[in-house]
Amino acid sequence: MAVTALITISWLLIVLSMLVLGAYAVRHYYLGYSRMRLEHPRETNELVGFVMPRITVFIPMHNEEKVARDILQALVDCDYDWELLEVIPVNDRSTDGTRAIVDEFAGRYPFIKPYHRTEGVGGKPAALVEATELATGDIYLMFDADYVPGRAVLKMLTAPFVDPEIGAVMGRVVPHNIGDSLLSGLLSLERCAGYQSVQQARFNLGFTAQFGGTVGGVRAAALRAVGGWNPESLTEDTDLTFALLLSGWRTAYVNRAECYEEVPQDWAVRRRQLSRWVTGHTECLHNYWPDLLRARFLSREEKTDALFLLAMYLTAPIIVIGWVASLVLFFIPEAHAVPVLPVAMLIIGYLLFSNQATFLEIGVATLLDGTRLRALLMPLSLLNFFANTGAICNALRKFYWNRFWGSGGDGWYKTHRTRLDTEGQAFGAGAKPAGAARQSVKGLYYANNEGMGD
Amino acid sequence: MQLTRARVGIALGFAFAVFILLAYFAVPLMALHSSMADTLLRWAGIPNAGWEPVSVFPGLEPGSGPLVPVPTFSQVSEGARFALILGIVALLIVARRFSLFRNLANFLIVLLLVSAVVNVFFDTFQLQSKVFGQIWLRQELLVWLLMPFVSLLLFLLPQPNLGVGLGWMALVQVYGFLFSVLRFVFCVGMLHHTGLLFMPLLWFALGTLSDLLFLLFFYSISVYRTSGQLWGVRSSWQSQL
Repeated sequence: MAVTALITISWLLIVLSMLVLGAYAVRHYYLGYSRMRLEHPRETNELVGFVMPRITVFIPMHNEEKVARDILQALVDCDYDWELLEVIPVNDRSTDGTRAIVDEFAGRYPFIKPYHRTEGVGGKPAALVEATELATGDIYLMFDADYVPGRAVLKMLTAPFVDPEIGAVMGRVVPHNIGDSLLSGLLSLERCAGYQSVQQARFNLGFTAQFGGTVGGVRAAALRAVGGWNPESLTEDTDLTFALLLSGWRTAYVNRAECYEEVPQDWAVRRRQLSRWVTGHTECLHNYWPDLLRARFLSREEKTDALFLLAMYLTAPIIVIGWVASLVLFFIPEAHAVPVLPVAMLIIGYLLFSNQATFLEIGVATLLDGTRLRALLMPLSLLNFFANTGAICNALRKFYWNRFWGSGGDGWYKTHRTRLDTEGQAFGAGAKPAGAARQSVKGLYYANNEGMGD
Repeated sequence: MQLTRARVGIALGFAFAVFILLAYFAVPLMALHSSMADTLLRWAGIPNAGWEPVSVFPGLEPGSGPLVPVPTFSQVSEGARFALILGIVALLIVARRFSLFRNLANFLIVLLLVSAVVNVFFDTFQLQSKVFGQIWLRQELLVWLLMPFVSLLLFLLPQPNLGVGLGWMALVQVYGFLFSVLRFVFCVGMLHHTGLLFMPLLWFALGTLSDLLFLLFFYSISVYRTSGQLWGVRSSWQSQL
């Protein structure tokens, strides 16, 4: 009796895994295939220079003395009309030489108008909320401090706003430290598939692209219409994407607006980054899924795609559940008589790699980018997959635990930078003693190393 | 390169043709699989009393499973038990030293521990080699049957030259078959020498995961080569993005 019940439960769990993961796999392959076919190409670059609105560029900074000069100089070198450009470095309680660098640039270039924060809640969303009040542009663009935008990026990111339905724009993030470690190489594959294949395919197919909070922009009027940044969200970018979508605004993707970033080089940094994304993303899922389903102006396909996007991190525990159920069946001889076990193992095994980006998406992105050497790293993506799955499950466990007990979750973490030997410093450490580990802010807890950044 | 409807149609036709051929010749294929495995088992000195028919899938049977003696936990040699402990320790070291491997290593440790617990507390539980052969064939037959459609997307469509794509497709299919024989013989050998101790781990690592890994290995090489060939015409791709 107990064995029969165990087999039935395992069966049901495996069927659940297969259905959910199968649906995700179909979606991944559809997007990859669509990209391979170069279907419905949508290119906004022909609009570059057609209209040049007044823009404000935000650069959230916290202890960024090693990289601040690079991004400010890169923005100065951009080919955007200085009369229509306003750059606001948001220096959030830096304790290093960031302020001096920013002030030096502000003294030389009148369109650079620094905003120095000395108090208040830490974290990028909170800083952006304050800085936005000072902005005079019609379009707000955002770059993390360690990014290096190319000369034409501002124009490229501004071009899609010619379309009045476009509320936000996302450019492409390209890792520059691919060869520094195995992890950074694998993450470059993930980014490559995520932008070149998934973002572009979704945009081409008429789905809303995902605003990433950096190398992107938002229309000032649209931001005001949805009530501004959500300072309580750990992924204010995802939050804004869906707030805009539900208010009728679209997010465009500009594949050629490339900006170089530094991806994590060691797993500890990556795990914390992933943990923040999982928490913020899943929070958005809970906040937005009812409104998404009710939205009358969104097609069924758009709603489905949006839900797939919001729920993507839930696939990790579903995979684990499938494995556990398969393991249980392996040890039950009665289960060997039916072909459920091999079928389940096959499907689950087949989906092993398709959690973040399927092979096809990676391969197509690599072909389109012409980065052939990177393709040879693909078999090693298995390691990244296992590492991601564990970290995502752990982050979800914490998220739901905190949600159940009504306590706060992890706060903002400043991703450790390694460029130019930058040492990651505790965000806001200067504002409170190191021993004061937690500070409750609107239901969230900000740890010592809370911070802003990618 | 453009994926025209005609090209997609032809490629899909090839995939279906291979699928139908494989389904039609499934029984002889499984017999060949068993025959090759039998030869390798004899070379490896693993005693096999013969092959018994096993059901695989309705309409695609019978296959056959080997009759290799399998020890229970109490019959397993001290060396095998020591190897289990050594395996766990080695994986613990890997998990400790290489953070990127940690989750994979931890999962493998769990598989070994679960196996150890089941062996210790349910000594009578035994996986017969014939049953293992049945499970294996069910899994691999599915892989062989699905492979043409996976190859369609991974190898046939992205290739500028359809002939080269078909070559990759054939290579993957043949390699998958031969690789399956090797892995099966290794697993049966381990089953004979160590009983059920390592089987969950082997089943996980050498089962579909290995199929996927070799597929990915070939795919990465294929993309690497194709990318080089397409370099000259890449501008025409990107002009249509």
